[in-house]
Amino acid sequence: MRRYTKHLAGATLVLALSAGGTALAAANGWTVPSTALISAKVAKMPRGVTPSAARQSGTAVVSWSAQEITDGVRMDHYVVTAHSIDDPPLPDITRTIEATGGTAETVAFTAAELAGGKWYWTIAPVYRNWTGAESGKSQRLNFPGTPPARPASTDPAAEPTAAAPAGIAPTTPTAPNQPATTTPATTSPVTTETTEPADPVTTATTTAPAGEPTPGDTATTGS
Amino acid sequence: MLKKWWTPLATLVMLAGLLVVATTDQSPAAEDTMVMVGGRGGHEHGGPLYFTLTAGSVHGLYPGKVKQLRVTVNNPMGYRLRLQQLAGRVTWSSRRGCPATSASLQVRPYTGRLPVLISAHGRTTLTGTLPILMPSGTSEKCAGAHFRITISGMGYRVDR
Repeated sequence: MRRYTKHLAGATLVLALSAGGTALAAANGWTVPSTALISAKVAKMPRGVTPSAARQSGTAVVSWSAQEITDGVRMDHYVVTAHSIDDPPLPDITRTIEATGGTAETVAFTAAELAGGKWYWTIAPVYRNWTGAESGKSQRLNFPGTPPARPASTDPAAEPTAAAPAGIAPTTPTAPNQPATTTPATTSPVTTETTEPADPVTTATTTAPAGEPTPGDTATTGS
Repeated sequence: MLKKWWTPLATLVMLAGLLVVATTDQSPAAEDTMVMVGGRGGHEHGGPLYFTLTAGSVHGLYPGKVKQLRVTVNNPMGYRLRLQQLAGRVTWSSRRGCPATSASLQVRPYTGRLPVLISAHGRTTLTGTLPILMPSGTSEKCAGAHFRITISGMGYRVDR
């Protein structure tokens, strides 16, 4: 019993000295912690701006305003898709183009690609691996002829602006969420079809395939 | 006999436990002890024993972007404060597909020099920053997400 009492006394002394030392150390410089919560918001990817489409020198020239993910930071790519409104529809033609860094972007689709179909275009902005929602629909253009044999979807290395044939007058890109403007006087007079705003609500109906133009579309005329 | 063994042993265990609790509360490295948020804290001799950290919110993050978070230290104590450590980490995300991990958002080490002395009842905006980085490969699901970043500091009271 006496032995245990000695052990207990010894252990208590050691612990007391340790605790006392800790207290003394703390008294010489109290440790003071603090935390705070900060919020951080990530930019949203914008929806693509509605492009304008115009026939120029036998090609379809699609133009739109450059977009930013946040102030001063422009998108680095755009996905441009030509959608067929024929029945049955022709396969979509999709191109991913590198942004030029300018205030407007333009890409041309050749008549050979579009022959035998009626088309409208949409764009989606891309920043790094983020892609924004698809834009509203451009004007429709009709390209008579025999459709070329093509795969379901093509994505050739497209050149923005520079890919447009020489002599093409620049088109005026549309402002976000506004109807596209009609093409200027340089539009080819080859066909009688007219271009129309994509998204204004009208009562006209089309024989659009499922999943394609919505009731918001206007009917194509003159083709 | 059993009782004779038990009594000193229990006493020893109890004292050891008390010692562990006491020392843990004073450990600067123990993250769990960093519980004083926004001005709540202990008092010593009727005076406050805490300091506060404040920083503005961060906006406009996108892949590849680095934002510099500037931190202000407020010392309400009647003693000088020596800020010894400052760090931050992402602790919450509003999107399930965009977890609060370094793959989504990172808080880099403080860029300034430490320690920093803050005078009694003083307020200092630190010269260094905590860089907030969104990696280039951050998931698309992080677009529009909100994050919460916890910044924590550890200082020592400097006697007058």
